[in-house]
Amino acid sequence: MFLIGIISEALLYLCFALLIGSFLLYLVPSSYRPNINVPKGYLMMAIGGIAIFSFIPVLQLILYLYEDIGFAQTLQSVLFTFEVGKAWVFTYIFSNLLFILVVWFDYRKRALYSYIGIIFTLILILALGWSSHASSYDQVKGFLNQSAHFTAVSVWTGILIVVSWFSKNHSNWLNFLKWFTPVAIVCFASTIVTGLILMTFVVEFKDYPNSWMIPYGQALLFKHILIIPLLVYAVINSILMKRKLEKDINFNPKPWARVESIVILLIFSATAALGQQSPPHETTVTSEVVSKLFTMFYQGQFQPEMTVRLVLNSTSMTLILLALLFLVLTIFSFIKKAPAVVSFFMCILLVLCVYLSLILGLQ
Amino acid sequence: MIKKLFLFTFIFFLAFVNNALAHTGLESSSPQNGAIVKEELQEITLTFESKIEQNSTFEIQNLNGDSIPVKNISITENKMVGSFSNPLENGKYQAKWKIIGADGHPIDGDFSFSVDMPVTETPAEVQKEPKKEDAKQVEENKPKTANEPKEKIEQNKLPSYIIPSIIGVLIVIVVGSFIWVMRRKK
Repeated sequence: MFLIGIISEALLYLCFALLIGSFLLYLVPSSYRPNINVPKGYLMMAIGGIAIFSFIPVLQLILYLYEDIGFAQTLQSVLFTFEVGKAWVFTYIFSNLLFILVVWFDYRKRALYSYIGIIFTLILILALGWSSHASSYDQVKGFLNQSAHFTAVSVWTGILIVVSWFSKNHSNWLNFLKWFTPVAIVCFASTIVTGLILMTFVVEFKDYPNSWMIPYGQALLFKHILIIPLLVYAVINSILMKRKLEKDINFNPKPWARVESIVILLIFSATAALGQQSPPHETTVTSEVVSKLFTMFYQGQFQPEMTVRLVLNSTSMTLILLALLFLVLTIFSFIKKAPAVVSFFMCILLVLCVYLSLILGLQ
Repeated sequence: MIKKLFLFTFIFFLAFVNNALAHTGLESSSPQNGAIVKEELQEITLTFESKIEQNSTFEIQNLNGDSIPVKNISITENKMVGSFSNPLENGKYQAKWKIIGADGHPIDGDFSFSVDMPVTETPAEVQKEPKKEDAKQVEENKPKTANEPKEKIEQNKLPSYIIPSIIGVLIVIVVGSFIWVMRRKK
Protein backbone atom coordinates (compact mmCIF):
# COMPACT_ATOMS: atom_id res chain seq x y z
CA MET A 1 0.00 0.00 0.00
CA PHE A 2 2.91 2.24 0.80
CA LEU A 3 4.46 1.67 -2.62
CA ILE A 4 1.10 2.17 -4.31
CA GLY A 5 0.83 5.44 -2.42
CA ILE A 6 4.15 6.70 -3.79
CA ILE A 7 3.56 5.57 -7.37
CA SER A 8 0.04 6.97 -7.52
CA GLU A 9 1.18 10.28 -6.08
CA ALA A 10 4.02 10.60 -8.61
CA LEU A 11 1.60 9.71 -11.41
CA LEU A 12 -0.81 12.32 -10.09
CA TYR A 13 1.84 15.01 -10.53
CA LEU A 14 2.54 13.65 -14.01
CA CYS A 15 -1.16 13.87 -14.93
CA PHE A 16 -1.33 17.51 -13.87
CA ALA A 17 1.85 18.32 -15.80
CA LEU A 18 0.49 16.62 -18.91
CA LEU A 19 -2.77 18.55 -18.79
CA ILE A 20 -1.25 21.97 -18.17
CA GLY A 21 1.55 21.35 -20.66
CA SER A 22 -0.80 20.26 -23.44
CA PHE A 23 -3.27 23.09 -22.99
CA LEU A 24 -0.47 25.66 -22.85
CA LEU A 25 1.35 24.35 -25.90
CA TYR A 26 -1.82 24.39 -27.99
CA LEU A 27 -2.14 28.08 -27.14
CA VAL A 28 1.31 28.82 -28.54
CA PRO A 29 1.35 29.79 -32.24
CA SER A 30 2.55 26.79 -34.23
CA SER A 31 5.62 28.63 -35.54
CA TYR A 32 6.89 28.92 -31.97
CA ARG A 33 6.77 25.25 -31.11
CA PRO A 34 7.54 21.91 -32.66
CA ASN A 35 4.66 20.16 -34.34
CA ILE A 36 2.93 18.39 -31.48
CA ASN A 37 0.07 15.97 -31.25
CA VAL A 38 -1.37 15.08 -27.89
CA PRO A 39 -4.12 12.54 -28.62
CA LYS A 40 -7.39 13.12 -26.79
CA GLY A 41 -7.07 9.69 -25.21
CA TYR A 42 -3.97 10.73 -23.28
CA LEU A 43 -5.63 13.80 -21.81
CA MET A 44 -8.71 11.74 -20.94
CA MET A 45 -6.45 9.28 -19.19
CA ALA A 46 -4.67 12.10 -17.37
CA ILE A 47 -7.98 13.51 -16.13
CA GLY A 48 -9.16 10.06 -15.06
CA GLY A 49 -5.78 9.67 -13.39
CA ILE A 50 -6.32 12.81 -11.35
CA ALA A 51 -9.67 11.52 -10.09
CA ILE A 52 -8.28 8.08 -9.25
CA PHE A 53 -4.80 8.87 -7.97
CA SER A 54 -5.99 11.67 -5.73
CA PHE A 55 -8.39 9.16 -4.18
CA ILE A 56 -5.56 6.85 -3.07
CA PRO A 57 -4.63 8.89 0.05
CA VAL A 58 -8.34 9.05 0.95
CA LEU A 59 -8.60 5.29 0.48
CA GLN A 60 -5.53 4.73 2.65
CA LEU A 61 -7.18 6.78 5.32
CA ILE A 62 -10.44 4.82 5.08
CA LEU A 63 -8.62 1.50 5.23
CA TYR A 64 -6.80 2.76 8.27
CA LEU A 65 -10.01 3.76 10.04
CA TYR A 66 -12.68 1.32 8.93
CA GLU A 67 -11.99 -1.35 11.56
CA ASP A 68 -13.42 0.85 14.25
CA ILE A 69 -16.75 1.85 12.78
CA GLY A 70 -17.18 -0.08 9.53
CA PHE A 71 -16.41 0.68 5.92
CA ALA A 72 -19.56 2.46 4.73
CA GLN A 73 -19.72 4.77 7.69
CA THR A 74 -16.03 5.54 7.49
CA LEU A 75 -16.34 6.31 3.79
CA GLN A 76 -19.16 8.70 4.50
CA SER A 77 -17.46 10.46 7.36
CA VAL A 78 -14.13 10.77 5.55
CA LEU A 79 -15.67 12.09 2.34
CA PHE A 80 -17.92 14.61 3.98
CA THR A 81 -16.21 15.77 7.14
CA PHE A 82 -12.45 15.37 6.58
CA GLU A 83 -10.55 18.11 4.78
CA VAL A 84 -8.92 15.56 2.47
CA GLY A 85 -12.27 13.91 1.78
CA LYS A 86 -14.05 17.15 0.97
CA ALA A 87 -11.15 18.20 -1.25
CA TRP A 88 -11.38 14.90 -3.13
CA VAL A 89 -15.14 15.15 -3.70
CA PHE A 90 -14.52 18.58 -5.16
CA THR A 91 -11.66 17.22 -7.28
CA TYR A 92 -13.84 14.38 -8.51
CA ILE A 93 -16.64 16.68 -9.63
CA PHE A 94 -14.31 19.08 -11.39
CA SER A 95 -12.29 16.36 -13.09
CA ASN A 96 -15.56 14.98 -14.47
CA LEU A 97 -16.45 18.40 -15.85
CA LEU A 98 -13.00 18.71 -17.40
CA PHE A 99 -13.34 15.21 -18.86
CA ILE A 100 -16.59 16.19 -20.56
CA LEU A 101 -14.96 19.37 -21.85
CA VAL A 102 -12.08 17.45 -23.40
CA VAL A 103 -14.39 14.83 -24.92
CA TRP A 104 -16.88 17.28 -26.43
CA PHE A 105 -14.70 20.21 -27.44
CA ASP A 106 -11.47 19.87 -29.35
CA TYR A 107 -8.74 21.81 -27.56
CA ARG A 108 -6.57 21.36 -30.66
CA LYS A 109 -8.95 23.45 -32.76
CA ARG A 110 -9.92 26.44 -30.64
CA ALA A 111 -7.83 28.39 -28.17
CA LEU A 112 -10.87 29.09 -25.98
CA TYR A 113 -11.16 25.41 -25.03
CA SER A 114 -7.53 25.35 -23.99
CA TYR A 115 -8.08 28.42 -21.81
CA ILE A 116 -11.06 26.77 -20.13
CA GLY A 117 -9.00 23.62 -19.71
CA ILE A 118 -6.24 25.56 -17.99
CA ILE A 119 -8.71 27.24 -15.62
CA PHE A 120 -10.21 23.88 -14.66
CA THR A 121 -6.79 22.37 -14.10
CA LEU A 122 -5.82 25.32 -11.90
CA ILE A 123 -8.98 24.82 -9.84
CA LEU A 124 -7.99 21.17 -9.38
CA ILE A 125 -4.53 22.27 -8.25
CA LEU A 126 -6.14 24.56 -5.67
CA ALA A 127 -8.21 21.66 -4.36
CA LEU A 128 -5.06 19.59 -3.98
CA GLY A 129 -3.35 22.47 -2.20
CA TRP A 130 -6.29 22.70 0.18
CA SER A 131 -5.81 19.18 1.48
CA SER A 132 -2.04 19.44 1.52
CA HIS A 133 0.22 18.99 4.46
CA ALA A 134 1.31 22.62 4.46
CA SER A 135 -2.20 24.01 4.70
CA SER A 136 -2.91 21.88 7.76
CA TYR A 137 -0.26 23.95 9.53
CA ASP A 138 -0.96 27.36 8.15
CA GLN A 139 -4.30 27.58 6.41
CA VAL A 140 -3.58 30.62 4.25
CA LYS A 141 0.19 30.73 3.81
CA GLY A 142 0.50 26.97 3.43
CA PHE A 143 -2.35 26.75 0.96
CA LEU A 144 -1.11 29.61 -1.23
CA ASN A 145 2.48 28.42 -1.24
CA GLN A 146 1.57 24.83 -1.96
CA SER A 147 -0.66 25.84 -4.85
CA ALA A 148 1.91 28.26 -6.27
CA HIS A 149 4.63 25.63 -5.97
CA PHE A 150 2.52 23.04 -7.73
CA THR A 151 1.42 25.42 -10.47
CA ALA A 152 4.95 26.59 -11.25
CA VAL A 153 6.21 23.00 -11.40
CA SER A 154 3.30 21.84 -13.56
CA VAL A 155 3.70 24.67 -16.08
CA TRP A 156 7.41 24.19 -16.51
CA THR A 157 7.61 20.39 -16.44
CA GLY A 158 4.33 20.01 -18.32
CA ILE A 159 5.59 21.94 -21.32
CA LEU A 160 8.87 20.05 -21.22
CA ILE A 161 7.25 16.62 -20.96
CA VAL A 162 4.72 17.28 -23.73
CA VAL A 163 7.32 18.79 -26.07
CA SER A 164 9.78 15.96 -25.52
CA TRP A 165 7.38 13.02 -25.74
CA PHE A 166 4.57 14.26 -27.97
CA SER A 167 6.33 16.30 -30.66
CA LYS A 168 6.41 14.76 -34.12
CA ASN A 169 9.64 16.46 -35.15
CA HIS A 170 11.97 19.11 -33.85
CA SER A 171 11.06 21.92 -36.23
CA ASN A 172 11.02 25.41 -34.72
CA TRP A 173 13.00 24.19 -31.72
CA LEU A 174 15.07 27.39 -31.62
CA ASN A 175 11.92 29.48 -31.70
CA PHE A 176 10.52 27.32 -28.94
CA LEU A 177 13.61 27.82 -26.78
CA LYS A 178 13.32 31.59 -27.19
CA TRP A 179 10.18 31.73 -25.08
CA PHE A 180 10.53 28.53 -23.09
CA THR A 181 13.89 29.41 -21.50
CA PRO A 182 12.60 32.55 -19.74
CA VAL A 183 9.38 30.77 -18.77
CA ALA A 184 11.40 27.91 -17.29
CA ILE A 185 13.64 30.30 -15.36
CA VAL A 186 10.67 32.15 -13.85
CA CYS A 187 8.95 28.88 -12.96
CA PHE A 188 12.11 27.41 -11.50
CA ALA A 189 12.77 30.49 -9.38
CA SER A 190 9.22 30.51 -8.02
CA THR A 191 9.42 26.77 -7.38
CA ILE A 192 12.58 27.22 -5.32
CA VAL A 193 11.21 30.17 -3.32
CA THR A 194 7.84 28.54 -2.55
CA GLY A 195 9.58 25.22 -1.95
CA LEU A 196 11.86 26.73 0.67
CA ILE A 197 8.91 28.41 2.37
CA LEU A 198 7.05 25.09 2.42
CA MET A 199 10.12 23.44 3.84
CA THR A 200 10.16 25.83 6.78
CA PHE A 201 6.79 24.36 7.81
CA VAL A 202 8.35 20.98 8.40
CA VAL A 203 12.09 21.38 8.97
CA GLU A 204 14.08 24.17 10.51
CA PHE A 205 17.12 24.89 8.43
CA LYS A 206 19.52 24.24 11.27
CA ASP A 207 17.86 20.87 11.84
CA TYR A 208 18.11 19.89 8.21
CA PRO A 209 20.96 17.36 8.62
CA ASN A 210 19.13 15.88 11.61
CA SER A 211 16.07 15.27 9.50
CA TRP A 212 18.14 12.95 7.29
CA MET A 213 17.85 10.30 9.98
CA ILE A 214 14.20 9.67 9.23
CA PRO A 215 12.66 8.53 5.92
CA TYR A 216 11.09 11.96 5.37
CA GLY A 217 14.46 13.66 5.54
CA GLN A 218 16.01 11.06 3.27
CA ALA A 219 13.36 11.67 0.64
CA LEU A 220 13.78 15.43 0.99
CA LEU A 221 17.55 15.07 0.67
CA PHE A 222 17.18 12.99 -2.50
CA LYS A 223 14.78 15.57 -3.88
CA HIS A 224 17.26 18.35 -3.26
CA ILE A 225 20.21 16.44 -4.70
CA LEU A 226 18.19 15.60 -7.81
CA ILE A 227 17.83 19.32 -8.46
CA ILE A 228 21.56 19.36 -9.40
CA PRO A 229 21.21 17.10 -12.48
CA LEU A 230 17.98 18.90 -13.30
CA LEU A 231 19.87 22.20 -13.41
CA VAL A 232 22.62 20.61 -15.48
CA TYR A 233 20.04 19.44 -18.02
CA ALA A 234 18.32 22.80 -17.91
CA VAL A 235 21.63 24.41 -18.94
CA ILE A 236 22.24 21.74 -21.60
CA ASN A 237 18.73 22.03 -22.99
CA SER A 238 18.70 25.80 -23.13
CA ILE A 239 22.08 27.48 -23.65
CA LEU A 240 24.14 24.59 -25.02
CA MET A 241 21.29 23.27 -27.14
CA LYS A 242 20.77 26.68 -28.69
CA ARG A 243 24.41 26.83 -29.77
CA LYS A 244 24.38 23.29 -31.07
CA LEU A 245 21.22 23.87 -33.10
CA GLU A 246 22.57 27.09 -34.54
CA LYS A 247 25.55 25.12 -35.83
CA ASP A 248 23.70 22.01 -36.86
CA ILE A 249 19.97 22.32 -37.44
CA ASN A 250 19.63 18.56 -37.87
CA PHE A 251 20.75 17.78 -34.35
CA ASN A 252 17.89 16.08 -32.54
CA PRO A 253 17.22 17.77 -29.18
CA LYS A 254 14.36 15.45 -28.19
CA PRO A 255 16.36 12.70 -26.41
CA TRP A 256 17.95 15.35 -24.19
CA ALA A 257 14.64 16.92 -23.34
CA ARG A 258 13.36 13.41 -22.58
CA VAL A 259 16.22 12.72 -20.19
CA GLU A 260 15.42 15.97 -18.40
CA SER A 261 11.81 14.86 -18.11
CA ILE A 262 12.98 11.55 -16.61
CA VAL A 263 14.94 13.48 -13.98
CA ILE A 264 11.74 15.39 -13.30
CA LEU A 265 9.91 12.08 -12.88
CA LEU A 266 12.52 11.08 -10.29
CA ILE A 267 11.94 14.34 -8.44
CA PHE A 268 8.20 13.67 -8.56
CA SER A 269 8.86 10.27 -6.99
CA ALA A 270 10.98 11.76 -4.23
CA THR A 271 8.24 14.30 -3.56
CA ALA A 272 5.64 11.55 -3.52
CA ALA A 273 7.75 9.61 -1.03
CA LEU A 274 7.82 12.74 1.13
CA GLY A 275 4.05 12.85 1.15
CA GLN A 276 3.86 9.32 2.54
CA GLN A 277 6.08 10.00 5.54
CA SER A 278 5.46 11.94 8.64
CA PRO A 279 7.53 15.12 8.78
CA PRO A 280 10.40 15.65 11.24
CA HIS A 281 8.63 17.84 13.78
CA GLU A 282 5.97 15.16 14.29
CA THR A 283 8.58 12.52 14.70
CA THR A 284 10.93 11.63 17.46
CA VAL A 285 13.89 9.77 16.08
CA THR A 286 13.64 6.35 17.65
CA SER A 287 15.07 3.06 16.49
CA GLU A 288 11.71 2.24 14.91
CA VAL A 289 11.43 5.31 12.73
CA VAL A 290 15.05 5.76 11.75
CA SER A 291 15.63 5.40 8.03
CA LYS A 292 17.27 2.12 7.04
CA LEU A 293 19.24 3.89 4.34
CA PHE A 294 20.60 6.22 6.96
CA THR A 295 21.74 3.52 9.38
CA MET A 296 23.29 1.61 6.50
CA PHE A 297 25.66 4.42 5.56
CA TYR A 298 26.04 6.37 8.75
CA GLN A 299 29.51 5.83 10.19
CA GLY A 300 28.78 6.16 13.88
CA GLN A 301 26.51 4.13 16.13
CA PHE A 302 22.89 5.20 15.93
CA GLN A 303 21.32 6.29 19.19
CA PRO A 304 17.70 7.31 19.56
CA GLU A 305 17.15 11.06 19.76
CA MET A 306 20.71 11.80 18.78
CA THR A 307 21.65 14.78 16.67
CA VAL A 308 24.18 14.94 13.89
CA ARG A 309 26.07 17.66 12.13
CA LEU A 310 27.83 17.88 8.84
CA VAL A 311 31.62 17.78 9.02
CA LEU A 312 33.32 17.22 5.70
CA ASN A 313 36.04 14.60 6.03
CA SER A 314 38.39 13.21 3.41
CA THR A 315 35.91 10.57 2.24
CA SER A 316 33.19 13.08 1.61
CA MET A 317 35.60 15.49 -0.06
CA THR A 318 36.67 12.72 -2.43
CA LEU A 319 33.06 11.98 -3.21
CA ILE A 320 32.29 15.65 -3.83
CA LEU A 321 35.22 15.77 -6.24
CA LEU A 322 33.90 12.67 -7.99
CA ALA A 323 30.47 14.29 -8.16
CA LEU A 324 32.01 17.33 -9.85
CA LEU A 325 33.75 15.06 -12.36
CA PHE A 326 30.45 13.33 -13.13
CA LEU A 327 28.89 16.74 -13.64
CA VAL A 328 31.61 17.64 -16.12
CA LEU A 329 31.15 14.25 -17.79
CA THR A 330 27.42 14.86 -18.17
CA ILE A 331 28.07 18.08 -20.03
CA PHE A 332 30.95 16.55 -22.01
CA SER A 333 28.84 13.66 -23.19
CA PHE A 334 26.44 16.23 -24.62
CA ILE A 335 29.18 18.24 -26.33
CA LYS A 336 30.70 15.06 -27.75
CA LYS A 337 27.26 13.89 -28.92
CA ALA A 338 27.27 10.73 -26.86
CA PRO A 339 23.87 9.07 -26.45
CA ALA A 340 21.66 10.86 -23.96
CA VAL A 341 21.33 7.72 -21.88
CA VAL A 342 25.08 7.83 -21.13
CA SER A 343 24.73 11.26 -19.60
CA PHE A 344 21.74 10.02 -17.64
CA PHE A 345 23.94 7.37 -16.03
CA MET A 346 26.51 10.04 -15.23
CA CYS A 347 23.78 12.05 -13.54
CA ILE A 348 22.63 9.11 -11.46
CA LEU A 349 26.22 8.56 -10.32
CA LEU A 350 26.49 12.28 -9.59
CA VAL A 351 23.45 12.03 -7.32
CA LEU A 352 24.88 8.95 -5.65
CA CYS A 353 28.20 10.70 -4.99
CA VAL A 354 26.61 13.77 -3.47
CA TYR A 355 24.32 11.60 -1.34
CA LEU A 356 27.15 9.42 -0.02
CA SER A 357 29.32 12.45 0.54
CA LEU A 358 26.70 14.10 2.73
CA ILE A 359 25.73 10.98 4.67
CA LEU A 360 29.35 9.93 5.24
CA GLY A 361 30.17 13.46 6.34
CA LEU A 362 27.76 13.27 9.29
CA GLN A 363 29.06 13.11 12.80
CA MET B 1 16.76 3.14 -23.72
CA ILE B 2 13.37 4.19 -22.45
CA LYS B 3 12.73 0.78 -20.92
CA LYS B 4 16.00 1.03 -19.03
CA LEU B 5 15.11 4.47 -17.78
CA PHE B 6 11.81 3.23 -16.47
CA LEU B 7 13.54 0.37 -14.77
CA PHE B 8 15.75 2.93 -13.09
CA THR B 9 12.78 4.96 -12.02
CA PHE B 10 11.24 1.85 -10.57
CA ILE B 11 14.38 0.97 -8.62
CA PHE B 12 14.35 4.51 -7.35
CA PHE B 13 10.79 4.05 -6.10
CA LEU B 14 11.88 0.94 -4.26
CA ALA B 15 14.66 2.82 -2.53
CA PHE B 16 12.06 4.64 -0.51
CA VAL B 17 10.15 1.65 0.72
CA ASN B 18 10.66 2.05 4.35
CA ASN B 19 7.60 1.26 6.28
CA ALA B 20 7.90 2.72 9.70
CA LEU B 21 4.85 4.14 11.35
CA ALA B 22 5.51 5.39 14.82
CA HIS B 23 5.15 9.09 15.26
CA THR B 24 4.39 11.40 18.08
CA GLY B 25 1.99 14.10 17.15
CA LEU B 26 1.03 14.30 20.80
CA GLU B 27 1.92 17.58 22.43
CA SER B 28 0.80 16.84 25.96
CA SER B 29 -1.69 14.72 27.81
CA SER B 30 -3.45 14.67 31.11
CA PRO B 31 -2.34 12.51 32.86
CA GLN B 32 1.07 12.74 31.35
CA ASN B 33 3.18 9.84 30.21
CA GLY B 34 4.55 7.99 33.22
CA ALA B 35 2.45 9.92 35.72
CA ILE B 36 1.15 8.29 38.89
CA VAL B 37 -2.29 9.62 39.61
CA LYS B 38 -3.22 9.74 43.29
CA GLU B 39 -6.75 11.00 42.83
CA GLU B 40 -9.69 9.54 41.09
CA LEU B 41 -9.35 9.68 37.35
CA GLN B 42 -12.40 9.98 35.23
CA GLU B 43 -11.30 11.97 32.24
CA ILE B 44 -8.36 11.92 29.90
CA THR B 45 -7.29 14.82 27.73
CA LEU B 46 -4.90 14.56 24.84
CA THR B 47 -3.54 17.70 23.21
CA PHE B 48 -1.97 17.41 19.77
CA GLU B 49 0.34 19.62 17.79
CA SER B 50 -2.16 20.53 15.11
CA LYS B 51 -5.83 20.12 14.23
CA ILE B 52 -7.12 16.54 14.26
CA GLU B 53 -10.07 15.07 12.35
CA GLN B 54 -13.28 13.66 13.79
CA ASN B 55 -12.56 9.93 13.53
CA SER B 56 -9.58 10.25 15.82
CA THR B 57 -9.86 8.01 18.83
CA PHE B 58 -8.05 6.50 21.77
CA GLU B 59 -8.46 3.53 24.06
CA ILE B 60 -7.29 2.63 27.51
CA GLN B 61 -5.97 -0.78 28.41
CA ASN B 62 -5.04 -2.17 31.78
CA LEU B 63 -2.10 -4.47 32.38
CA ASN B 64 -4.04 -7.55 31.33
CA GLY B 65 -4.76 -5.98 27.99
CA ASP B 66 -8.47 -5.53 28.69
CA SER B 67 -9.70 -2.27 27.34
CA ILE B 68 -11.70 0.03 29.53
CA PRO B 69 -14.60 1.59 27.61
CA VAL B 70 -14.10 5.28 26.96
CA LYS B 71 -17.29 7.19 26.42
CA ASN B 72 -18.00 10.55 24.87
CA ILE B 73 -14.77 11.13 23.03
CA SER B 74 -15.06 14.73 21.96
CA ILE B 75 -12.72 16.46 19.57
CA THR B 76 -12.26 20.18 19.26
CA GLU B 77 -9.46 21.48 17.05
CA ASN B 78 -6.35 19.85 18.52
CA LYS B 79 -7.85 18.47 21.74
CA MET B 80 -9.37 15.06 22.34
CA VAL B 81 -11.22 14.44 25.61
CA GLY B 82 -12.71 11.15 26.75
CA SER B 83 -14.28 10.08 30.03
CA PHE B 84 -15.13 6.90 31.89
CA SER B 85 -18.41 5.98 33.50
CA ASN B 86 -16.54 4.93 36.64
CA PRO B 87 -13.25 6.26 37.92
CA LEU B 88 -10.30 4.05 37.01
CA GLU B 89 -9.25 1.48 39.59
CA ASN B 90 -5.75 1.33 40.93
CA GLY B 91 -3.25 -0.12 38.49
CA LYS B 92 -1.22 0.56 35.45
CA TYR B 93 -2.82 1.71 32.24
CA GLN B 94 -1.80 2.26 28.70
CA ALA B 95 -3.49 4.82 26.47
CA LYS B 96 -3.32 4.11 22.75
CA TRP B 97 -4.28 6.90 20.42
CA LYS B 98 -5.00 6.90 16.72
CA ILE B 99 -5.53 10.27 15.12
CA ILE B 100 -5.92 11.76 11.69
CA GLY B 101 -4.20 15.05 10.97
CA ALA B 102 -5.92 17.69 8.83
CA ASP B 103 -3.77 16.61 5.89
CA GLY B 104 -5.21 13.11 6.22
CA HIS B 105 -2.13 11.49 7.70
CA PRO B 106 -2.89 8.85 10.29
CA ILE B 107 -0.64 9.06 13.29
CA ASP B 108 -0.69 6.72 16.26
CA GLY B 109 1.14 6.33 19.50
CA ASP B 110 0.68 5.47 23.11
CA PHE B 111 1.58 6.56 26.62
CA SER B 112 1.12 4.97 29.99
CA PHE B 113 0.26 6.08 33.49
CA SER B 114 -0.85 4.46 36.69
CA VAL B 115 -3.55 5.17 39.21
CA ASP B 116 -2.63 4.81 42.85
CA MET B 117 -5.40 6.10 45.09
CA PRO B 118 -5.41 5.65 48.87
CA VAL B 119 -7.68 2.64 49.34
CA THR B 120 -9.73 3.91 52.28
CA GLU B 121 -11.18 6.85 50.45
CA THR B 122 -14.61 6.25 48.98
CA PRO B 123 -14.98 7.54 45.49
CA ALA B 124 -17.05 10.68 45.23
CA GLU B 125 -20.42 10.73 43.52
CA VAL B 126 -20.13 10.24 39.80
CA GLN B 127 -20.45 13.69 38.33
CA LYS B 128 -22.41 14.38 35.25
CA GLU B 129 -19.93 16.88 33.95
CA PRO B 130 -16.47 15.54 34.56
CA LYS B 131 -14.11 18.13 35.82
CA LYS B 132 -10.85 18.70 34.14
CA GLU B 133 -8.68 19.02 37.16
CA ASP B 134 -9.57 15.56 38.38
CA ALA B 135 -6.29 14.22 37.26
CA LYS B 136 -3.38 15.70 39.07
CA GLN B 137 0.01 14.50 38.24
CA VAL B 138 2.09 13.91 41.27
CA GLU B 139 5.12 12.66 39.55
CA GLU B 140 6.17 13.84 36.15
CA ASN B 141 8.38 11.70 34.12
CA LYS B 142 9.68 12.47 30.70
CA PRO B 143 6.82 14.27 29.01
CA LYS B 144 6.80 13.01 25.49
CA THR B 145 8.43 9.97 24.07
CA ALA B 146 6.63 6.79 24.79
CA ASN B 147 9.22 4.36 23.61
CA GLU B 148 12.31 4.70 25.62
CA PRO B 149 15.69 3.66 24.32
CA LYS B 150 16.40 0.58 26.29
CA GLU B 151 17.52 -2.08 23.96
CA LYS B 152 20.69 -1.74 21.93
CA ILE B 153 19.77 -1.00 18.37
CA GLU B 154 21.11 -3.52 15.98
CA GLN B 155 22.28 -1.66 12.95
CA ASN B 156 22.45 -3.19 9.53
CA LYS B 157 25.96 -1.87 9.16
CA LEU B 158 27.89 -2.20 5.97
CA PRO B 159 31.24 -3.97 6.17
CA SER B 160 34.05 -1.43 6.41
CA TYR B 161 35.49 -2.22 2.99
CA ILE B 162 32.28 -1.31 1.16
CA ILE B 163 32.66 2.47 1.12
CA PRO B 164 36.29 2.47 -0.14
CA SER B 165 35.33 -0.06 -2.83
CA ILE B 166 32.39 2.09 -3.91
CA ILE B 167 34.72 5.05 -4.21
CA GLY B 168 37.24 2.92 -6.11
CA VAL B 169 34.58 1.76 -8.56
CA LEU B 170 33.36 5.34 -9.01
CA ILE B 171 36.90 6.51 -9.81
CA VAL B 172 37.25 3.73 -12.39
CA ILE B 173 33.95 4.76 -13.95
CA VAL B 174 35.00 8.42 -14.06
CA VAL B 175 38.34 7.64 -15.72
CA GLY B 176 36.81 5.10 -18.10
CA SER B 177 34.03 7.44 -19.17
CA PHE B 178 36.42 10.33 -19.68
CA ILE B 179 38.54 8.23 -22.00
CA TRP B 180 35.46 6.92 -23.80
CA VAL B 181 33.90 10.34 -24.22
CA MET B 182 37.10 12.08 -25.31
CA ARG B 183 37.80 9.43 -27.92
CA ARG B 184 34.48 10.03 -29.65
CA LYS B 185 34.95 12.11 -32.71
CA LYS B 186 33.00 15.30 -32.69
